[in-house]
Amino acid sequence: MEHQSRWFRLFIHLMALLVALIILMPLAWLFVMSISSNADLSAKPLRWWPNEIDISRYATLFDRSDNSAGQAFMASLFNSIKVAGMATIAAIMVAIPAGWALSRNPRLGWVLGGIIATYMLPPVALSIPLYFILAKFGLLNNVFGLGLVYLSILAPFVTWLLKSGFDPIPKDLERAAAIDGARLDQMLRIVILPLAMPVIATATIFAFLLAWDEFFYALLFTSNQDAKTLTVAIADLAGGRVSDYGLIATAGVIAALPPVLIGILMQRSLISGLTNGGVKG
Amino acid sequence: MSTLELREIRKSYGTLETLKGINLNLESGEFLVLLGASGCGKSTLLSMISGLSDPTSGDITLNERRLNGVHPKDRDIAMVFQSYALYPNLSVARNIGFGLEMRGIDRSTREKAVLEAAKVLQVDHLLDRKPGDLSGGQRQRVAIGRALVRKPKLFLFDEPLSNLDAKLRLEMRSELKRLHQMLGVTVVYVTHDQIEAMTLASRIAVMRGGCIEQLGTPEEIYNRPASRFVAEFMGSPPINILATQQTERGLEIASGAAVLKDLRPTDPVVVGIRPEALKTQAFDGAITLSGTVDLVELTGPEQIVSVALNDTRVTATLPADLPLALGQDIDLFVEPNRILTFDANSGDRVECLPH
Ligand SMILES: Nc1ncnc2c1ncn2[C@@H]1O[C@H](COP(=O)(O)OP(=O)(O)OP(=O)(O)O)[C@@H](O)[C@H]1O
Ligand SMILES: [Mg+2]
Repeated sequence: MEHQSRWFRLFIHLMALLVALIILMPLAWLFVMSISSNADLSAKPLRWWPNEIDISRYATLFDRSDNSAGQAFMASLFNSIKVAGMATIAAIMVAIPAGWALSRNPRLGWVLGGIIATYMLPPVALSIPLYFILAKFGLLNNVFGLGLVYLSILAPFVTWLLKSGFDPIPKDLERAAAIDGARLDQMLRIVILPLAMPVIATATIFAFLLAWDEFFYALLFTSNQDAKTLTVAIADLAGGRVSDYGLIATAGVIAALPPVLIGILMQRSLISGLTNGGVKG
Repeated sequence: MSTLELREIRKSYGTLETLKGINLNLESGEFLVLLGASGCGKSTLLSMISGLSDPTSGDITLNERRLNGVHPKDRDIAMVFQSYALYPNLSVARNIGFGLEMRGIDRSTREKAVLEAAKVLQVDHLLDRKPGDLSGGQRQRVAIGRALVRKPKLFLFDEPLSNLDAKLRLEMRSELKRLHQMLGVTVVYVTHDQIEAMTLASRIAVMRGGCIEQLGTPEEIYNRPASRFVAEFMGSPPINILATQQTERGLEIASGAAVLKDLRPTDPVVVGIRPEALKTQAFDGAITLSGTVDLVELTGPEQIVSVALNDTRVTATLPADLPLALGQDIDLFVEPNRILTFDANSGDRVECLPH
């Protein structure tokens, strides 16, 4: 690929720019909405850039005084971080040994197949039994309860992802480590996991996003600031008689920040190619 | 003193018996090569010795200590894998010292041992690199260094050179031989390359379908193969196998191209003649094979000549400077005692002395 013509390179860059634009456009619009005044938002024809910049909604949402909209919103933000964070960490902890075991014992593959098959059930079908179970353990409207539900969604998915991440790691590495005298935990920690790091990072981001964006169960199983998550809180903003689209957009911008932050943090391990060279490919 | 002893080792995967009763005795300092075609159970046998899997039945003892059920790390054995199996995320130094690190050897002792092993293998200038930044030959050296540094009682090699290019393979082969002579370690070495086996081994075990077909020194295996299988496995170009017929004149080879007057075996036999046993100079007592030159391949130091004899062909390796034309008549001479006879049915070698 070293002898591409100048025009071809230009073409590639233009295309990349186009894709980036298509992806970023809605986000940019969301941001513009969040800083437009209500008048600009309802003007016809639509203004692409507001006359005056209005950042009062950020102040509204970050307002910590009692019983304010801001307090409810911030509570839901922290609930989302807690629930998604707990569920993701727990799912990764479960999925590392499970995915490794499944990768090394292909005969157990049907177990994973069976669990993945439960994904075919519509969430509505599971919601009632889940509701009763949570009620029985007193975990309704509780971040741990919701986290547990999310864990049951994330764990199979993450296990499946990690299994395919462990698959290409050669078994000879484990044999060599066994002969070298590594205990199981040392083998995993020093030899296997560093090689699976790109996949683990990817799985973490996907799991976190899945939990972060979940709406249905959160709506059913939470009722107030104790456990209500962002998705539900944003829906509440839209649910009133008059909807402030600017406020919803502002909430959306804030809600997008934590996943972006995690993405940036994980970026380093996402760069793969770590497995190169240890064994003859 | 016997180091490694294998008694009636069997291994089955489900109903399939991969190893069918292996018996071996290995002296200390020996270089044993397990030689055989793909799928004959060489790696399986090696993994049984290393403890990575357990035999279905049979005993493994190392220095009088029974090893069945003992974890690989407690066996005092090191192994070099065909795939090298270096840890890609660890530096070369840490790779080599990993076995010592896991055994809790303190840092300074470890570093000294790593440096020493690296010096022996000439990789001491690479210690800070990652395996990914090394060439194939260097990786192989590091893998050997990792085995060496622990000073185990027994070294296992599973086709360590098969991933290297031809020139490097030759180099590493001599290096391994030198290393073995220098350190006097005991080695079990798996390969399907007969030249590797011939050059490295103090003894060769030729395996076939989960059994040891013949166990002997390279010289014995080559010159006195126990069966037609072993004879055909060893040597390149391969041994000529010719059908025979009993007639009043004696044993006729290749529809009468030559007659072995004195041989009168009781059962039907085939004969085997190594290509290099065929000469173009007549000598006393030689058996003559007359035919025409069919194909000439010059390898450099010699030429491989295919000679048509009635309805078959034989291959002869002849000096390169011998002028030969396609289709020319040629007489090949062979010493009677370099003609091997095998039972036509069982393939076992039979001695049919002249009577
Ligand atoms: N885990 C296993 N399960 C089932 N069959 C196996 C297993 N391991 C090996 N075998 C079978 O045992 C036989 C011998 O395998 P092995 O790997 O020992 O051959 P090999 O002599 O090392 O061949 P190669 O030269 O190709 O490495 C093969 O037929 C293989 O299919
Ligand atoms: Mg093998």
